[in-house]
Amino acid sequence: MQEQQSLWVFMAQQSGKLWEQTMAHIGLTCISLLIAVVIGLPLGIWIARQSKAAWLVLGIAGVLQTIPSIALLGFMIPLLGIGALPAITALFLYALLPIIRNTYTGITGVDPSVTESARGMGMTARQVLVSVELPLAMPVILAGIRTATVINVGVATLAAYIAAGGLGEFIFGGIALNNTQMILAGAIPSALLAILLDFLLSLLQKTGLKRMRKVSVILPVLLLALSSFYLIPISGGKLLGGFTPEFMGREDGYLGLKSKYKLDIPTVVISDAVMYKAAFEKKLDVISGYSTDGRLKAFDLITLEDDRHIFPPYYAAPLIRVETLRRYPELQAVLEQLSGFINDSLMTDLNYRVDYLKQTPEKVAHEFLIRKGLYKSPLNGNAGTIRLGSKIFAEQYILIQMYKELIEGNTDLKVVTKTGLGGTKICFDALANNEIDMYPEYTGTGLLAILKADNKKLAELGGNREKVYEYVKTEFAKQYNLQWLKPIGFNNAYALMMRRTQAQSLNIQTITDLKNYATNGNHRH
Amino acid sequence: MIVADQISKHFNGVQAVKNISFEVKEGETMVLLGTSGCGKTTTLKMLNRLIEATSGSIYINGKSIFEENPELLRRTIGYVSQNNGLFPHFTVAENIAVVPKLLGWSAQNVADQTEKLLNRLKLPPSEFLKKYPDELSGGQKQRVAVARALIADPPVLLMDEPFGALDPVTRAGVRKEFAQLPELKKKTVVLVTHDVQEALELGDRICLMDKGEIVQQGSAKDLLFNPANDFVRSFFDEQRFFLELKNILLRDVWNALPNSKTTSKYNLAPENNLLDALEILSMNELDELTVQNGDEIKTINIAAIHQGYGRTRQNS
Repeated sequence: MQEQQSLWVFMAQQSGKLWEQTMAHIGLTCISLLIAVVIGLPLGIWIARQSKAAWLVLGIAGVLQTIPSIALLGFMIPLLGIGALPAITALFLYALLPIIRNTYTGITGVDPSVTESARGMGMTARQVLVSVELPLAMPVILAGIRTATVINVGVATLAAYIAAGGLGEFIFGGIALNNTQMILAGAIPSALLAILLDFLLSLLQKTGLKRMRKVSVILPVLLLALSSFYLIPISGGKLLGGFTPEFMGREDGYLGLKSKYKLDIPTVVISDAVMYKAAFEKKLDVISGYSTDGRLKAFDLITLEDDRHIFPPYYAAPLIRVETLRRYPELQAVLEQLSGFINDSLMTDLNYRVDYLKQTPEKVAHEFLIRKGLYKSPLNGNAGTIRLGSKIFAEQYILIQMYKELIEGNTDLKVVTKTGLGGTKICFDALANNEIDMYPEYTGTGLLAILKADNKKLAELGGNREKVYEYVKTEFAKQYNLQWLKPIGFNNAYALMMRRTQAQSLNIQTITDLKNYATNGNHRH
Repeated sequence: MIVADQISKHFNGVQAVKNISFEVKEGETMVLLGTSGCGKTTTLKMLNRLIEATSGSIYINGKSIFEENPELLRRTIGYVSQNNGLFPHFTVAENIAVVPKLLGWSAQNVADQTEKLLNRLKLPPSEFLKKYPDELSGGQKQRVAVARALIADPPVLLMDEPFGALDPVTRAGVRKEFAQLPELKKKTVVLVTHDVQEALELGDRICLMDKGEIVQQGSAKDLLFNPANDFVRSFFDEQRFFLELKNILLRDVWNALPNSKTTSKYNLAPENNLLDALEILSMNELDELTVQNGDEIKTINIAAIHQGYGRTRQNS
């Protein structure tokens, strides 16, 4: 009951955003659906006449359907960049198969004696299609459109990854921030939306054969009207910001930028995976990155100085279950061996090798340990198994590999790795539920995403590295029975980034500079 | 009037119809009869270009159909397809109005003609106009299909197994009704069937087809009593006695019948056939009954039937 109430509270507080996202979601779904109908319907009609082309067209559409949606969005980025265009294109491709296939099935399923007598009475091919075949095939075609709609409402949540908006912003923000209310605020409306649109279409479908001629008029009008809900965010100012769903919802992120810096630039929500490239390609001007990200080097971006200290320190340290440590006390010394070996620029370089030079995390980790003289051959012992987890980005993969080699070289324990566990919430839940024994976490994440420290606490800690570490260490031990080991040494904090050339030409070095430029820029309009 | 001259149809190298020729005179009903796959439906559909003939020429009322736009041609030819072919999403009224709409009739004209025709076909307009095909019985659907083909009063009517989907009882009834429709009396009709009885009952002339060729064409009597070959003979064998009795009219044996002075309770006309006479005699356990032609009255009994039947077979 407590949970439910706070969900309503959250939805009420965020009602503006929720409304905006829902409208964008409906719009994305309907625009792509409309295009899919406009293209899929004639294509289905055509292949119903050309049985030789049918298998080819259905085959291609079928293959498109099998591409995982997140991968399809990924393919779109190099071709179409970020934003509405690639999202709509990907959704359109998903909607295509059910529409083509059902049109084909519907038309070929019309009783041949009916079409024959239509022709026999002197109807032209076009009249037969419009007055006889389409109305009779309409229930089957509508079933295809229903399928496509439900698929699209689901896949449209992923549009939030490429700056196209929609309810995915809440869902992915919620996953990243370990905020269940936020996830539900995105997930429940999108589920309701799927049910509602499906229901509306089922009404059309059930109007019966007799009124199918009216349906073929209502449907395009309905889709067109719903499509207009989607207003592509147009950048009013000179600079466009692209922030991850996680950053958008954090006090030490977008919320802090607004409240402490009064920074107000047009923003879109985008996945971390494509954000840097989009900045490099001038699709975005300001992004929220991590200060040790290898792509910083690859795409020639610079970080802006956080002159008002809204980003708390994010020192990485192994986070381990107390039980595990109790059973294998030798682990602590081994896991703390990395301490002091990796600073920010070194970590950026390691990340760069993986993210940009495409070296494997295993190779990068292995070579690093050898270079630093930390590597020992595996003992191949059998004293027990340690399960290591990681979030889904290169830095964590590299660290996990280092820990694996260190544990196997220094103890008799075996290591299994569970990499790519998504965001903080998934990793933390896995650790808390004893599905993994340890993963590398960042002090700032622990403080904000997991402990959800309030503003008073944040002010008290004041971004101080030692204080934050001591606070999370104490609280985690107390609340979750989890142990923070010694930090490795680098600070992978949030940072605002811009292209080096643009920042230099505009003379922007700090976030305050950015704010001043943005405010003046907006005023000049 | 329809003239088909040396028409053929090839489907991917297979000859479905091989160089056949026939003529249907104005007001005549010609039946294309044969087993399935004999090419009779293909032949029918070549007449309104639903299937394009591979070679040969076809004239309707003196005009080559190949010189006309196929859609415009079909609007002037009534067509009843197999399984009635009614549009399931159209009401009876809308179904019947398809061709008039294509021809650009006024709504009032369409309504008037529809009403007239439905009345004639014993489908009260007030009850049926707004119904959909799935609310009708098989026989009613068939009558609507016929109405749809007749509404624009085309001089030529093509029917592809029009009664094929009906059960035998309904079928006999609808067929009889159909044969008596005044609208059909002046129409040139080509009808496809595999039903021998239907062919003999409805056809002024019958084309018996086999393997894409016309084996024999002529009247029912020609086919029954003067079969061109063994195929024609064996085609009717199963019901031969019944069919033959049915196709010998009392008029045909008129001269052999003895005269009578008075009419009996059961009085037939010369257009009745031997089967009718035999049926009445047997059912009522009579020895004889009379036939009346104007003032002339004759007697008919089992012996006369026997004699008439034997003579007709012998003469042929």
